Amino acid sequence: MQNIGILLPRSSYYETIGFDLYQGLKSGLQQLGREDIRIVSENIGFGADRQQVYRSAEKLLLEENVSIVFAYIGHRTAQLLRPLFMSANRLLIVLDAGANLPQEWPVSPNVFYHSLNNALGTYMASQRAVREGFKQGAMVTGYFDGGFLHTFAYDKGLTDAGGEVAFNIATGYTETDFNLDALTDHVKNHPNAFLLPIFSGDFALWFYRDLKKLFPEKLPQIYASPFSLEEVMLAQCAFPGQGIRGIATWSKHLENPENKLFLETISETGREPNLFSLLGWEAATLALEALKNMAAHKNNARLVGESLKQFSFQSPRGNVVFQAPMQTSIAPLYEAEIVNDGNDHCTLHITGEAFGYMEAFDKMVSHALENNISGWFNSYTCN
Amino acid sequence: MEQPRIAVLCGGPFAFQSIMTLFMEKYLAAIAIGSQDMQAKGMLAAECERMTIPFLDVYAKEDVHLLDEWLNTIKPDYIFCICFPYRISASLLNQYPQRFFNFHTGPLPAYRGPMPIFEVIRNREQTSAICVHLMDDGFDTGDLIFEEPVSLVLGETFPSLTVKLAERAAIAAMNLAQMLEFGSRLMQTKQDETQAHFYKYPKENDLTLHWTLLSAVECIALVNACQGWSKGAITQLHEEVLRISSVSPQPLRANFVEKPGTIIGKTSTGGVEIVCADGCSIEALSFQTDFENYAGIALEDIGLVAGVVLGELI
Repeated sequence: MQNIGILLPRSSYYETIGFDLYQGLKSGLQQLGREDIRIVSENIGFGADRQQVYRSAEKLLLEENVSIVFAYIGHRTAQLLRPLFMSANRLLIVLDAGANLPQEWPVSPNVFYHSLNNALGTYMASQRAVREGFKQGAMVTGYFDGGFLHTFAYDKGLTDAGGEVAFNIATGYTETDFNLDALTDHVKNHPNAFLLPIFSGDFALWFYRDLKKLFPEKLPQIYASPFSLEEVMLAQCAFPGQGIRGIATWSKHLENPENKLFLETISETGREPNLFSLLGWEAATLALEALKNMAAHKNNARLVGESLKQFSFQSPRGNVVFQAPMQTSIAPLYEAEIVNDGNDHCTLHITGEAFGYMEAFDKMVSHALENNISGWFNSYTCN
Repeated sequence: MEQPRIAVLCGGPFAFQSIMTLFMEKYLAAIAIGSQDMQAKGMLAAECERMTIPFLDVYAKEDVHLLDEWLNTIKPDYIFCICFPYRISASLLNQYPQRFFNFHTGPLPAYRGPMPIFEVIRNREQTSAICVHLMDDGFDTGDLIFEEPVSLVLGETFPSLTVKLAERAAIAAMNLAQMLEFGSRLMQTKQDETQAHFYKYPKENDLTLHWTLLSAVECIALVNACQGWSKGAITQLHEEVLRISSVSPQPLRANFVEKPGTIIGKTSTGGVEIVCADGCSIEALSFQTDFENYAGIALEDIGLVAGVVLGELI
């Protein structure tokens, strides 16, 4: 029997994240006819306790003898695990929210990032704003979300497109500290301004709630980052009004056979399909490819990595490919807007595929970070 | 375990980034430097004073014995050797079993020896590495912990690869410290002796451009490998030693019938074009003697003109 490992996080506001990742992987393997593959999971908390993460990975490698390990972690934590996997000659596939940028750390031959491309979506959201006539951007983020490098992607996306950063606001860490009052004056004084929220989970909920209070008559133009358009969270939000567009990673409204199968399969397990079950579902395809290559290359993880760089597959969000130099997967992104679901709550409406996402990725990662780093060990959305 | 205390034995600026990383991450316990570079030692001594980190100057290989008492005082959990130039005695290694690590600046076991950066560039490898290994009483023969690959680009030179490896060594140093802190055991792999090769410190003959033997790409690689640490690859002009210190990254033209070493003429960018053994030419951009550097219009002044044949033996 072949064993694969998965390091599962927990999150205060995405309470089911670990279950979703696991169920996505399990259902994906079942759907691919590989129920014989044993999944061994380990809990890593928020991903911030280095001892816990390291020991969990070590346990999977040494005690469970897994061939590959999936882990919902960030780049900084992957760096911690990298030499362990090089020593063990095993493959680490990071299930990555994509909130940081791959150029922060050097690539490793046996560490790959399967990404939800949040920074890329943020980069493209700011470029969409400029393309649609809004050149002065105001980034709206918080203590947690603001610590990831999608903020850098926003800045570069905007300036690359000919826009400018006009205003930044980072709110507090708790609901009582969450305050967007400074936005009212800014919007009043800058009629051509747009807002770019970079939030996830509860922070996004609070943002849309307060938006309606701050701008009861008409919302300013808003271009949202992918996690600010996450559908499970949106379904809980009262509809704040028209004018919220952005770039989404995936939607349950995407119409393709792969998405239909994914939605039906996960729903049958009693879970609501979301970004995390999607990531797990896609990981199943990657697992089979990696295991096949492990056998072909006699467990030489470095050679397996070389093969994986060329791999592509059809997923519920379109064709996933690896950008070989950064060993990071890229999938189509989608132009989207928030609309009223008919019950005065939010839902996502996909208006089309975002054009030029591959070129945008190359441009985004070509920027030197110039000492901009992310200090968070936490996996994104896990706090 | 608790955060380990690590002593670093280094040879100069190559290790400075690693030292700062270990200090920032609160692993650094002490630093010893083996070098005769007074400026590097002065900088490091001043930095140690600022960081309140114990410092030892090992001036020459005869002074290596100073390490015994010094380490006995420091009592580090582990010792990282990052380009430390002197051999550590077996008796000292035995006092710290499984605790002495070397950060070798080339792939192992294929590039054992004191100058792997030179050899890797000269051999036109596509990839080099920082190899972290346990130290035993052999030269670069201890068990491997992990290998940190580094890609070479077209025209890679000794200084440019050194910078890349130094950056990567800093990450590897932090990684190893974290492995020692968080891991329950250290995975190690025996080196494959069938793939092993030991390169001695390069001598003059290794630095010489043998025009009748070396192809254009081999000449370019040799000049690039000599850059920075020596005055350049050795050739001969009118029985005087001359060194080529920089070249264009690719051969210029092919199908020459002139004798290898012949100067074809000046190039549009101010260098000189020289024929190599395979009939292809290289563009040499700058030269050095023991006393002067020459480039551009100065090349003609020293006799580097069309028709002159550069020699290959001193």
